[in-house]
Amino acid sequence: MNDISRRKFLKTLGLSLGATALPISFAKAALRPRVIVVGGGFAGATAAKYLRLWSNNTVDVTLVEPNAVYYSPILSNLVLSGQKQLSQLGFKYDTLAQKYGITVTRSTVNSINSANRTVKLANGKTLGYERLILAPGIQFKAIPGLDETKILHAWQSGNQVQQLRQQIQAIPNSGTYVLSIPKAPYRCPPGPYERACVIADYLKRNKLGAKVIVLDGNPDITVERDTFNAAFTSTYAGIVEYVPNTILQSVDSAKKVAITSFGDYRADVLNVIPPHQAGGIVLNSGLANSSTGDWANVNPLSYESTAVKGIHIIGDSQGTGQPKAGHIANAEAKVCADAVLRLLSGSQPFAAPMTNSACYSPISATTASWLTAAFAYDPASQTMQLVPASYGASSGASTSNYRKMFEWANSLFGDTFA
Amino acid sequence: MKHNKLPYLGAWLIGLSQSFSFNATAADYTGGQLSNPKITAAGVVVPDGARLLASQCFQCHGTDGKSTTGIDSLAGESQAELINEMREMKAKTKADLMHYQAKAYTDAQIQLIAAYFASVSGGGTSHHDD
Repeated sequence: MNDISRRKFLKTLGLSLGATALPISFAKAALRPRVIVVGGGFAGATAAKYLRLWSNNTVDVTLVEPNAVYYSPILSNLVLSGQKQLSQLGFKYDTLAQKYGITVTRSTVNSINSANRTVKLANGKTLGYERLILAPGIQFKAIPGLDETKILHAWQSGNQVQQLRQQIQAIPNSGTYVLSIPKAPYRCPPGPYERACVIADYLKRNKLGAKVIVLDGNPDITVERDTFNAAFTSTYAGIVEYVPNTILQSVDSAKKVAITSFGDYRADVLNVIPPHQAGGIVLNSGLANSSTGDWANVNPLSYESTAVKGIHIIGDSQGTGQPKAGHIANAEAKVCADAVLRLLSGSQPFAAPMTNSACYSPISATTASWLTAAFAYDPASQTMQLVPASYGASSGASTSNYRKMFEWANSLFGDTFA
Repeated sequence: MKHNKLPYLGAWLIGLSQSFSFNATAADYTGGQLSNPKITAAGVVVPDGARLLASQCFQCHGTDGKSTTGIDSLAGESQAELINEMREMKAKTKADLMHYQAKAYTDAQIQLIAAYFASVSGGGTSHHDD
């Protein structure tokens, strides 16, 4: 027996032994179970892939995503500094469709009927589901005077990143780049500080006398404090000015002025990352039931909404308190996919899931740092809790980390989109 | 093909019950869900939940532990070797990403994760040899 046929056979055996309930209870249903995944970022793409892989293709999966190409926010700060092209960070859904048999529908969900278990798409179609997984990422809260066409966030990658790159290239010598960071929780905790570093590095080499001003809505650097503080005060001394506790109140978009709790900051390039909340479909469907009304509370064993049965929320929109970032969104998606398959077969989710977060941040054109943490389900509080011993960061930035950063990112891209 | 392999099923089921005593502590951790094990290639018993725990390694080590980058593949490594490596990393204090990750997992969880990767046929473009 060759390896392939043995694997194939054992896979079948593994299914019939290991997940006895799966094919039997599926067979009871008149139709194959249908799962709809909304949003094709790190969370949604991973969920769709693993639902197919782990059900041995016995579940029908439709991925609803409006864009033909997903541009990864991970590594996108390197587009700003010219070290990566945006096209190198683009992922199509062809592999997910062809290799895993996922039905990819280019549209958005307008509304959910949770009683009938249907979604209505912008293209007019109505799709039925047994389980619905929402992974819409984030949307931004309004800031008075902020005109997104003039003052970019570049925090969802894609075209805005390209535009911000052009704005930065046009900064004059002795010009000023001002970055506003919202209060936590926001997407990618080290990301804004990483952005300040790579832009400072670019300006240092290309724009004599140009400066970076970081207006942080938080009381201090939120993560990797030692690394970023050393970068701001040593590597980029005289270039980066870090201003904590600075709440953005309004923006003069025409004059590029940030009006803050600490006064006005005029910029040649003003880059405002507004405060976030869950994606529109989560907010509009009554699922954003966290205390602030911004995020969706879920059962972390399955990511099922605590507000509406049969709907799961993963990635940046969920409110478990885990970081909002691509790597851990992939982790949550696997927990959700595994739980959804168990629930479809009439069994219960795995009782002790783990997730983890890891990310590398470029600090210059040749160095990077990293940050990592793992989270464990705590049955007493029914929440995901940081495992303290697993929380750590690199001691500063190094060239070997810069190389490892691409291996980490390429592995994550592969596990998610290929 | 299937018929050739079926006689081994009994042997595997015996192995399965033996492995349960080895995983006795894991039973507590998985909420007593070990009634749902999988037996895969190489006849390794993969208890319920092992795949999900192991899948948390896939982000860096590739889907099913088959790396497509310079990061080590884990697929097809022996269970004992993987357990030893994780235990060694847990004990280390040097700031290394995997040293921190290893510290997140109990010995029982490490046994489950290692059982899963040992059950996957080797592959990937990168392989770990030490």
